[in-house]
Amino acid sequence: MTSRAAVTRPEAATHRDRARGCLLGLAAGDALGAPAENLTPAEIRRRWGRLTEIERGGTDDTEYAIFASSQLVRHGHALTSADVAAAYRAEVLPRITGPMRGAGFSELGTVEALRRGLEPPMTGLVHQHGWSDGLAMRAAPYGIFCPGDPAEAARLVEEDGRVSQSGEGVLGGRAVAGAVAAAMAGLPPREVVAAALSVVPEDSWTARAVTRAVTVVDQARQDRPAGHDPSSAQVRPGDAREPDDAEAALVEALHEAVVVRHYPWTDVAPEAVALALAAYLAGDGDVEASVTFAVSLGRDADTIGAIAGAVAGAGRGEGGVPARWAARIGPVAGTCLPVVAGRHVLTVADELTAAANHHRPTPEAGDDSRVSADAVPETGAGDDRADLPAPPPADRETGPRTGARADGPGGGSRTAKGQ
Amino acid sequence: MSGDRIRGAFAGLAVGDAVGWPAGRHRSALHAPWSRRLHRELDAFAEEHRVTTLPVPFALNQPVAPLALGPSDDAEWLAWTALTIDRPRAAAFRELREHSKDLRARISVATALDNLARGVEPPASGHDNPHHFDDAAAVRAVAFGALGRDPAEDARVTNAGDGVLGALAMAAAVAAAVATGSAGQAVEAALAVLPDDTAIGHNARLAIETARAAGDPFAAVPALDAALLDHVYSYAVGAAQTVPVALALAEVAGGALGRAVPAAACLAPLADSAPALTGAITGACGGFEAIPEGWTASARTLAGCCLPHLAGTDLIELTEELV
Repeated sequence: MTSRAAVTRPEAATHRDRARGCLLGLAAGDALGAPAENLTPAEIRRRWGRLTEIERGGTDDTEYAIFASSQLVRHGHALTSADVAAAYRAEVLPRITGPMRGAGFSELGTVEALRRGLEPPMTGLVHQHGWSDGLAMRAAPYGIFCPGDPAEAARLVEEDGRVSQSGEGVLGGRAVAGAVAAAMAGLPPREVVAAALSVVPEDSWTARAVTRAVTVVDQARQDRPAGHDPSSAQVRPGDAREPDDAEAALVEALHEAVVVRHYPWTDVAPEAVALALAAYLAGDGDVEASVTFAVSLGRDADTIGAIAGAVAGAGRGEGGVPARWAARIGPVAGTCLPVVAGRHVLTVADELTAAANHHRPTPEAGDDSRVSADAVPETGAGDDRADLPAPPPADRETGPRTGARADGPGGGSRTAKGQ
Repeated sequence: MSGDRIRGAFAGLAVGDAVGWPAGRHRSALHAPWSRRLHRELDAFAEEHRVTTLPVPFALNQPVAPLALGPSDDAEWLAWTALTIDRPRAAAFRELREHSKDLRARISVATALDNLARGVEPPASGHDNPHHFDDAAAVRAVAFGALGRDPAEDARVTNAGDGVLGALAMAAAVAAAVATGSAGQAVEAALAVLPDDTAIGHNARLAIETARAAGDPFAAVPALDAALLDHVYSYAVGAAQTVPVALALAEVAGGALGRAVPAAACLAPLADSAPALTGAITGACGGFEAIPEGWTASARTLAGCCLPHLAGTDLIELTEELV
């Protein structure tokens, strides 16, 4: 896949730019989708028409992606499940005092398994939510770290995933990491989705769900004249237009194709990944079109938005993320994972770029000098994690703070009850 | 003798099904829907008023018979399995869906029926399923095990992974119990089909070790809770929990239903199915005649709370025709 990097868009050609676009897109999708989580598409249309403006901070998706990034920066391609389990034991478990805010079933189930002394993969197998989208939501950094190499991105994310997930939960993470890796190489949306499918077994729920969702998007395209794709219409800031009938029909058809009806929780990985990739395709890879359509689907809207935003952002680069969204993304609060408090996705993206080049035996010419020039300091005053490159000091002080999800009873769960 | 043990497996499952507290909730499905709505409102009332008087299933203006001690979902699904055991399994489920629009089923089964309707065939019907890991197939596998048949085709319609392994383990345990009357051999047969590196295989060995250390079924309850239940997820019908508990309690009770089943009912989160699975294994070990008559009398007549067409069916008479 690396050879395909030749087709990259000139304005989004560097690894650093795509990495920043990817994590910014993830954070924006997470924040935009947060108020729509578990609402029906009809209710979302009633409240917002099309939800285009970020109302509040991001949630677990952004914080767990930052946590995953720190593992990658530390261990690179040598990352193992044991490393990730050790990080949970050292950095997550001791900081849980009282409720584990923002934790879905798979995260708390994993914590309980670790507390019992189990090791991966049993930590991901033994609880009953291994197929949640908890890995898919944090898989993008693996794609950033392995541009143009979906197979390696998938291999690495599975090392992480075996700690907390099993089965289709791992496959959902593989698909997203593979998609981001392909988007990081500048591949067009259809090939990005093909890359996601290339790293999961054909005989899997994930592959079947993604395939069904893609078919639905294709069918909608055929039913509409060219240039009138339901979700790729240009959306302007503050535009709360009523989505048209064709868009509502596409939403309904996607639900019909992949949503599990007789189940109250919405964070089923095959469903979330299929809906996110469908939104990315329907939005033709445009960040705003993909993400706004993704969150219009409801269900686990923050995670679906985060995945669509990460994949689209990797393809279009930092400039592809609407400036008004980027302005709303500040350092994370650490509500879900106190260990990542104060970290900004853009800093993390730069660290991943530096790490990707550091760990790559033969860095791509052209990219390397730029990345080296932009690389952040190896350590910094004020950062208590000596083993991680520090964010620029301004990172911690400027911009609106990302308030992670509320912590009231039930409100902190990313798997709050569905419709 | 083995006829008595086959009847014992069926009756033991029904007794265990009746023992668990969820049976009353399942059986109250026979009441008018507004009655259950009132129950939900009483739950909210207790929360709102901070009163610790919790509602139980009640009969306001409704017949009281459904709330008497009796079997519920598991016994009905077992009976349906026995009645349709000669049909190809996916076809049996399709026929059930067509003829019983008002059935009630586990999430795994409801999703599998949806999958079959949209053309997703087994094994994907059981695999592309958020509750593929539950013990719905393990309950049905009691019929296959008692009659010496392979439960795999049936299990794969509604389940995958641990859900299918749970069915294989239950069929193996019940078949061994019917053949030998020995709980030890039943457990050994079950462990032989449960790989170490699966959650159900890991938990089965852990549960057995835990129960042996406790030395007695009732004494094992707290240790099993601490070792096996994580109290995280909203449902507790995972085959990786219920089947291991059933195996462990059956063994440590020496196959005695009257010692094993009450202990299983004490693990409240698992009380929907662990007592039923425990009852099936120990019922087969001791045979039908060893189960207290009062229990078999209470547990043999199906209520039709999940499969309405089975209302009034006598499970033991049905079993006589199979033996």
